[in-house]
This record gives sequence, structure tokens and C-alpha cells, in this order.
Amino acid sequence: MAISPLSRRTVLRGVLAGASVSVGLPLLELMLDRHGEALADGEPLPVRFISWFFGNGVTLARFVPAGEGPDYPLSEELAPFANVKEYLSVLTGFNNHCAPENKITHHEGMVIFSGFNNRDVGQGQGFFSNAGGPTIDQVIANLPSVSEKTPIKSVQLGISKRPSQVDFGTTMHALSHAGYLMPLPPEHSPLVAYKMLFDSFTPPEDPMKPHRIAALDIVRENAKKLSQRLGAQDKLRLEAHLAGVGELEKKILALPPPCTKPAAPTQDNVDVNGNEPLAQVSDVMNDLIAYAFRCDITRVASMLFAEGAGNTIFSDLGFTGAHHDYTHDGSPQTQSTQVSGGVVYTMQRLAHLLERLKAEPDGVSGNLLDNTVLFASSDCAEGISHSVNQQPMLVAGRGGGKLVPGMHYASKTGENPSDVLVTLLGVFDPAATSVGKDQPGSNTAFAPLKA
Amino acid sequence: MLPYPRSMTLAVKALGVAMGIALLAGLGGPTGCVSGDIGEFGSGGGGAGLEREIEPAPGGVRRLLARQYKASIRAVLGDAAASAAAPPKDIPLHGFGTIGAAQLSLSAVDVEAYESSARAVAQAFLGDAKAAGKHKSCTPTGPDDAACMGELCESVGRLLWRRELDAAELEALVTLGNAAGATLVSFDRGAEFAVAALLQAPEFLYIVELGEPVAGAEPERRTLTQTELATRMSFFLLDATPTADLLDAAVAGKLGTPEEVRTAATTMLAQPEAKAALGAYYDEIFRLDLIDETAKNAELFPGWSDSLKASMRASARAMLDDIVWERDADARELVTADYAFVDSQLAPLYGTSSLAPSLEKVTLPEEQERAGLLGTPAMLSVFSHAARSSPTKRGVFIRRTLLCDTVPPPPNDVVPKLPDDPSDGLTTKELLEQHMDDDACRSCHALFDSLGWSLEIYDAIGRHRTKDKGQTIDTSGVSPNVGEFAGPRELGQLLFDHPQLPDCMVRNLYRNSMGHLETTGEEPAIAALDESFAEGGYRVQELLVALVTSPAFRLVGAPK
Repeated sequence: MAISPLSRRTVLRGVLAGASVSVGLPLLELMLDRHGEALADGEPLPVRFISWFFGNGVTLARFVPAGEGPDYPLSEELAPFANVKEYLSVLTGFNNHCAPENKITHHEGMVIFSGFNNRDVGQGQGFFSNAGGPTIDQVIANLPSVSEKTPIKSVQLGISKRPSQVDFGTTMHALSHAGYLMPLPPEHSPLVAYKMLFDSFTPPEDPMKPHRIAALDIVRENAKKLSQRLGAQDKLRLEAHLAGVGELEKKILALPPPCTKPAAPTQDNVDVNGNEPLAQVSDVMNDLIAYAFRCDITRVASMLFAEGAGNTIFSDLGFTGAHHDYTHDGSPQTQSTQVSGGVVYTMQRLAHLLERLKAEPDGVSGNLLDNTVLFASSDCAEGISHSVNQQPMLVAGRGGGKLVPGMHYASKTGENPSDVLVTLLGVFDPAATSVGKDQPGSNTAFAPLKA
Repeated sequence: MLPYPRSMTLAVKALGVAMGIALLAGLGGPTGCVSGDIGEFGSGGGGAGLEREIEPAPGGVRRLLARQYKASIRAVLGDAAASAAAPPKDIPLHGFGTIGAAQLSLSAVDVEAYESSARAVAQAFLGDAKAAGKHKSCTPTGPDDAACMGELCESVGRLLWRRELDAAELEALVTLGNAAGATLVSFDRGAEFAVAALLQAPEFLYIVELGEPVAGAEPERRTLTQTELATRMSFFLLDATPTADLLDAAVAGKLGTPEEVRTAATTMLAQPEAKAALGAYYDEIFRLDLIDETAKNAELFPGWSDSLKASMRASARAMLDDIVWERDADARELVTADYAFVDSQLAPLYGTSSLAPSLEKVTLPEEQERAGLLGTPAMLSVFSHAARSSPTKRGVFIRRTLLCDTVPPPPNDVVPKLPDDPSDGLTTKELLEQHMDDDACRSCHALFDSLGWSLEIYDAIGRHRTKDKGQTIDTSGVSPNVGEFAGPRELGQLLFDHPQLPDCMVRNLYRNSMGHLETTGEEPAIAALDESFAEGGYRVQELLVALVTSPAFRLVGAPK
């Protein structure tokens, strides 16, 4: 049932489109001080953030580790993390604190990434909601201490393209939301993602640069004139548009990162004989994230591996039915083989990302995973019931030494998952005291994770 | 967001219980689970009385859909420019791209995509001498020819921004174009920057519908300017920015009466773009667009391929086009048509002998019972699982999309699972019936599963069959508020005669055209459209005209 992981060499060939590629000195090493423990300007090494989503939950009996604390044993569904266990904290027993009226199946699970209740729930044809506020990755990406350091504020990526069947809005089609009615849908194509991250910088001597900027000034002037005539909601939309113009301007004016650009990937996200190349695309996306972090092009990424209630088929495992359908099949055999098999496959992809970051040196003695915070969860605890009680969370990376890695914490009281978000936000903003709002919001940090 | 009169307001669990009681009591009529009521509003006919009854929804700005962006560029800047256009994807809300376009904000990624697209489009346009020649008669004297740059920007700008540019705006564009031209030592290379600026400006990317106050009325009651009306009509009927002639007519005040609007609309409907625009809407509303991301079990369905999927989609579209455009027929034939458009790829699915490589109209074998859209492989494949059919998905499609009923999510305390079937011997119907032992499930599933059971004679890719797991399929059923039927054709006839079918066609088209779910205050307009749709013999072309001449189409509330 398990597939053989692609060899490192295969991945490099896939990503770099050739054999004779050398990866040059990454930006951060160029910029390090002489001891390699900080940047040359005296700032500490940057910490990066990743939010990672997989649809339809886990099977708790095979997921939750049997023991607690730092020496917890990996469970059957967490077995893929054997090589990065010392970086992985497993948080179980937390209950999503979303409002009861948020519960329309699957949608409410997404609240775990923001601490805001969904809005407009049940409007129109029932399976509808809008995210109620910014997701944690966007809160972090918009901190001046994060956004001002890199040419790109954040990147949103996705792997499976089989959409959720029960979302007539955007709550589940996008993992990242900049705010209410501001979804940031994922990019599924590695080719487009590569272009966005590595291939759209302007050489400093490009004669067109000032004129592109001048064109944006005309755009701003036009927006200003139009905005005066609009109501409050549309004014906000034009403000978001202008924020995008500001981001673009920053990117045009940025110096191209001095690290060697990886060669363009050749693997695109298109079906092969009707099957999605999930593992191959995922591996390439993981490489792109690692390169983007290493070159300090962005410090925030989100990954929507497969949508909640989506029709992803794990064809590498020989399965022919959609994962979401399997989760609602009452047969114990289906639950242990197809459902749990899909969870293990998904955890393999996430483990590969962690291994990839661990393999990438950062500073003199550390690696990228030492200086990363990854938060992973799903839209529910288990697909069969899609309950958001006992919704599992994974936190990986040392957060630049600010997080306690490698433990299993089993809450006995159904604690609020947003407590965890407060702690993670604290890694980036020591002054931060709260995340979200109302029932799912929190102003209490989850202490056991804090170093 | 706007309140939606048909949205669920009661707790889902309470509805489930209410529904169960309604079914047990044998009511069969409008229930808690489906809001089957049809409003009794309005004075009929339209006119000033109707206009006063309507409380318009707020005005505002709507982003161009990707197809509207491309078509507008094609109309103004030519084919080469349109080929270079690469706008960001639409994000639908409630199943409508136009609603997402009226509500959602752009991201930085979108803004960057618009810039790259604008630069590529501008370059292609300036490189296309014929297209560029339509907007400038002058021969540039050099890269810094301000007069010639002004002529170009004025002509292109008026069509892209759908208004005359003022002197300051023109000056800024000319300065940009000439400065870039001086740097790049080329008038055209410089002009690219000015055109790209026009293409990135909000006044091109957003349709502006703010209106002006109606004399003597409260300030939140506004009427679109004639230019705004021309724009709304053109984007709705043709998916493109208004032509120079239409803008001229609007500025000259020639879109001021319903008769003038009707004449303009009729002219637009005669253009091929009208067929494409309505087709794109049908793709969206009937989820034909989902077929691209529909996967099938390769062992069971080895013929499943991109080209088969494309044929399925084209075949369903051809039937819709035949009803609406070729025959201008009763739109309710959508659920009764006894023919299909079949090519050599689809022939084996339909059990016909067509060997033509392109689609041909074929009358279908009687025993297959195919009833219009309900028998199209596209719909049947999209609303199925990878390995088996889904009566639930198909039934929900009929309720939600054809009848505009609300189908609520399952209650929270129910574990929605199918029963264990270790021997894999149960038919889909048996599996579903077992799970209906649970009252909480049955209360709502009874509303749509029975509709879907009649379509069980079509497998997960729409092939006709008579047996499932060795058992003869029973296509008969009873569905609350629909009636009793022996099979798909009788079901189709019940839907044909159902008052909610044409009302739902009106509602969906209205949502698509206006970019919001209809509000309570707009119900009088819907009722009047229902009435005129019926009087006109349920012909969609006439409905399109009635919609754009409805007072609701030119009224807006205060800007949102």
C-alpha cells in the first residue's frame, strides 16, 4: 500500500529540470554576521511560518499517540514523522470553540486557523459561510517585523484540485483569508508558483521599472477618485486593491534576491490518466517553500493539501474512491484501510516538507526547521462524524528557539485551540496577547509550548 | 452581505424534526426543509406601480469576470490583445461568479496578475497595426508625440473606462506614454505603458453601478445613469464592455424608456456574443464547469478522458442552445427533451449509432427514458461519485438548481455514514434506504433521494443500465411537493408542470445579472418577471429582454 518515496535525486531532477544545476550560496548566508548566529545588521535570524491543511480529519484511534510528554511514541498515522519527531508536537483533545450556530459540517473546522467565527453561515443554499477574520498566517504576515523584511509578504499554495462539494463560498476553498470577504485562494501549479516566487523580479537596471511604477500612480489616482463615491464596503475593497498595488510596487522596486535562483520546475499539476500527481506536485511545492525561505523571499506560506469534503482520490495507494466518500462509509474495513491509509499518505507529504526544511542549513549550526513554526490541522477531528471536538493539531519547528518541540500534549478539558495560536503569534510578536474574537477567540497563551 | 429571504433561519435540528413531522403527517407540501412557497407579489405587468413597490438592493462596484475582461479587451483592443489577456480566476459565491465579483476583495496576487496581463495585452495591441489603427489616425512624429499619444489614450480610455477621460487624466497618461517612449526610443513601446495603466485602473476592472438620486424620492432610492444602464446590459447580455455606439446612445439619452432599452437589448441578442454569454452562465449554474475536475474510477470507466468530458459538456450546451437559440422554444423543455446531441464518443453512452466526429441531433431510444438535462452524461457524471452513481447528489441538484429549494446541511448530532456492506452486495438504493432508518436523516433525504432514484438507470458516467448489483432498478418514486412518477420521463413532466421550475429559472438569471441574491424588496420584480415569462411561453430570449427592461434592472439603493 505504501508508495516508495521519491529519491532525493529524482526530486532535484524534477525541480531543477536538469542534472548540472548548482545551488549557490543562499541569501541568508551572504548576509550573516561572522559568527553565523545573526544577520550582519545584528538582527536575529528570521523565523518563518507555515500553516498546513488537510481535509476530512484523521482516525483518532490510530492518530492519537499512546503516551504523553516529550518521549511520546508515534502512533500508526504519525509514523511518517520518525525522522523529524524531535521537531513535532502533537496536540490532542482540544475542542474547537466556534459558536454552535457555526456548525454546518466541515466549514466550522476552519475556525481553528483564525479564532474567528465564520459569518453569513447558512445563507442562500445552506452550505455557505464566509471566514470571519484573518487567518493566523495573515496576522503574522502583516506584522511589520515580518512584512517589511521580504519582497513577498506571503504565498498560498495548494496540491489537490478536487474542490469541496459543500462550500458555496470560500471558507474551505482557501486556507488563507486576509479578512472577511478577503479569501486568498491557493495556487495549485508549481510552474506559476515558481514564477511568482523566483521569476518575477526586475533587474535593477531595467529601463521599464520607473514607468511601471508611474502606471501604478495612475491606478492609485483613479482608485482615489472612484473611492470617494463608494459606500463603506466597497471602499474597503478598493483599499484591499490598493494594498495589492503597494505590494506589487514593493516587488518591482526590490532588488532581485542575490541567491542563485533554482531552475524552473517541469512538474505541473495536471492529471495523468485521470489521476492527480499528488506526491510529485507536493514534493516540488515543498522544494519551492524551502528555497523561498532560504533565499528570504517570503517568510510566510500556507499549504492547502486537500480541501475538506473534497473529492481527492489517493490513487498512489491504489484507491479508486474519493477520500471524503470513504470517510462516510460505515465499514470498519474502509475506515482502517482507505480512510486511515489516506491520512498516513497525507502525513507522509507533511513529513517530507519537515524533512526538507530540516535538511536545509540555516545559520552556522542550525537548519530551516529550527527557525520555522508550522501549524497543521484539518476541518474536523474525524471525517465520519465531522465533529470539531477533539480536533487534532500539529505544531512543528523550534520557532527560533521560542517553542518547545517534540511533545504530545493531551488536553483533558477540551481547551481552546486558539490558545495555541496566541503562543505561535507570540513567537513573531512578543507583545501579542490575543487571537480571534468571541467564543473561539483567545487571550490566553498555551504555556506548555513556550520555551 | 444581503439578507436572503429563503435562507434558513431556524435551527437545523428543529427543521429536521419539523420535516419528519410534516412527512409523517403526509403533508407533502411546502415544508421546513424546503421552502417551496412562491411569493404572491406585485401588480403584474410592470410599469410605475411595480417600480414603486420595489425596494432596490444597494449599488456599488463589481469586478469584471475573467470572461468579461477578455471579451472587453477583444472588443476594444482586438483578437491578438485578447489572446494575451490572463486575468485572475473568478471566485464564485453562492455558485455565481457575479456575486463573488460584487463582494470579494482582490489579493496582491490578483493585482500582480492584472499588471502582467495588462502589459502583455498592451504589447500585443500596439503590435497589431489594424487594431491600433482603429484608435489613432495620426502617425507619431517621434516617441514624445504628445498629440498622437493623447488621441490614442482618449479613444481607448473612453471605451475601457466607459466614460470620457478628463484633461488631468489624459495628461497623466500622455506624460507616462511619452516618458516611457523616450526611454525606450519608441512611440509604441511608450504607448504600451499608457494602455497598461488604463487596463489596471479600477474604472476598467470594476463595473460601477452607483446611480443618481430619483427626483422626489428618498436618497437611498437611485436610478442608474444611462451609461451605467448600458454597461450593466452589455456585461449581462454580451459579457463585454458597451460598444462606442451604445455609449453614444446612452450619453445622448436614448436609453431612457423601456422601449428604447428593449430595442437595444434585441439588437444585442442578435449578436453571437449573446449566445456565448448565456452559455457561460449555463455552464456555471448547471455545474457543467465542474466536469473538468470530475474524476472516475479508471478500472470501471476506462474510457473516461479529457476529450470525453469535453464532448459531454459540449453536448449539454448544444441542447440548451437548441432550445434557447435555434428554436426559441419553451425553456421548460430543459427537463423533457427527448433528443440529444451525440458524437462518436458519446454514441456508446447513449446507445445510439452516431459515428460523426461532431455533435449531431439524435432522437433517443424510448426505453432509455432520458429527459433533457436529467439525461445528459455531463450532469449525471458530475453528480455521481467516482465509482458509483449518487441519487443524493442528483436529487439535491434537482431541488437546489432546478426548483430553487433550500437543502440544509445535515444536523450536527447525526453521523452521516452509509451502512457497512461487507459483501458489497447492496445496491445504492438499498444502502441509502438503510441509512434512512434514522429519522433525522430521512426527514431531508426523502426530499431528494427519491428524485435521484429515478435516475439510477444511468450509471456514474451516464450510461443507461437496467440493473444495479444484479437487481432490476425501480425508477418509480414519490417526492413531496413534486408528485408520483414511474421514471425519469414522468419526473421530467412533473417538473415541466411545476410552478417552481420557471420561477427558479427567473431567480437564477436574476442573481447572475444583478450580482446578488434577490432581497425581499426585489420580490415584486421577480413576481412580475415570472408572470411575463409565462405569458411569453417561457422563452428565454424574451425573458432576457424582460429582465433588462424591468424597473429592478435600473434601480439601485444607496452604495454598499
